[in-house]
Amino acid sequence: MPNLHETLSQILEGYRANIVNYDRTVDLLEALYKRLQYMNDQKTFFDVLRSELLSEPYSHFTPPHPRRSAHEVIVRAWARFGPVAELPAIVFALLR
Amino acid sequence: MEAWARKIAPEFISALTLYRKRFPPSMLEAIKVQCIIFTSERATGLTGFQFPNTLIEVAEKLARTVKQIEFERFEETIVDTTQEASPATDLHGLLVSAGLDLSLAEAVETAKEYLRSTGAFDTKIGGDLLRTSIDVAHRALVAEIEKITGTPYAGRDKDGERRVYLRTVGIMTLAEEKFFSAIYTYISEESSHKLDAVKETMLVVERTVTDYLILLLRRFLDLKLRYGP
Repeated sequence: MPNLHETLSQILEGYRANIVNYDRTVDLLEALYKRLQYMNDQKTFFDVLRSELLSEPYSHFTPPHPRRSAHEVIVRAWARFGPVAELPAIVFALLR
Repeated sequence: MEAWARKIAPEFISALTLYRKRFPPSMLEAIKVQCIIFTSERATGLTGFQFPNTLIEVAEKLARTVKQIEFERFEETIVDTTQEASPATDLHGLLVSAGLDLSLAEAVETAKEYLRSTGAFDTKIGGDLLRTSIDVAHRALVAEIEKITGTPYAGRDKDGERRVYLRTVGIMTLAEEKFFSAIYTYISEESSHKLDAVKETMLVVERTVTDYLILLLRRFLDLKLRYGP
């Protein structure tokens, strides 16, 4: 598999650029996560997601503008299959 | 803060509602505490900071969601939910009781599995599977009811005409026939015309279809009882 960070970024970029829809993006993130066999990779997966989420700028654009932010897909993916114990703290940390 | 209230919080509320079982009580408590900071400030003025109304409103909504989840968990401690069979199990049991072909349960299970899978979602496939479940059920019931009641089915090979037959033999009322016909039409339109039904909508339809089939089977068993062995 290509570099995990790059693959994750590519999925999120596909969403930001309106190439893939919301449901498909979350499905892709989950599919990628399920392919990770080592705990270290799984941890890295969420480290990268956390970093992407916290550094993601807010987009005030609404469709059909070509760019949108990926906050919602990351939050959804985290709630669906991530370590939820960390999620409230991350979500409230976005309140800046 | 307003961007958070408009973009992040609604998604968090939605995710929390959808995956509520994944959130332990301590997490719910932490969310509530955080919400109180925003919702009580207007009343107490503790920090002296005026939060935007959009933030306060969404924090109230989030706190309500948490309270609702907590209450549901409380309810579960009183009502033994394990006694309630899931619709699929129920459907299977009813098919066995009715002496009908179990392939109907398989058709429903296939639809359920597809709609709950994590791969790419195609409305047409989801809709076709649900429509097949209804078609299979109606065909089987019409054939059985003909035998039991001696009332021959004179309609064409069309599901709408089988629904009319089911009404005429007392399996459903006219109002119910209209309602279920509307569901059938909705599924057909979404799958045939490739409209943009989201997966969540199709899941609602799938639950409705499953419950509808259960209702049909219960009515069929009543009818069978009325006509004797």
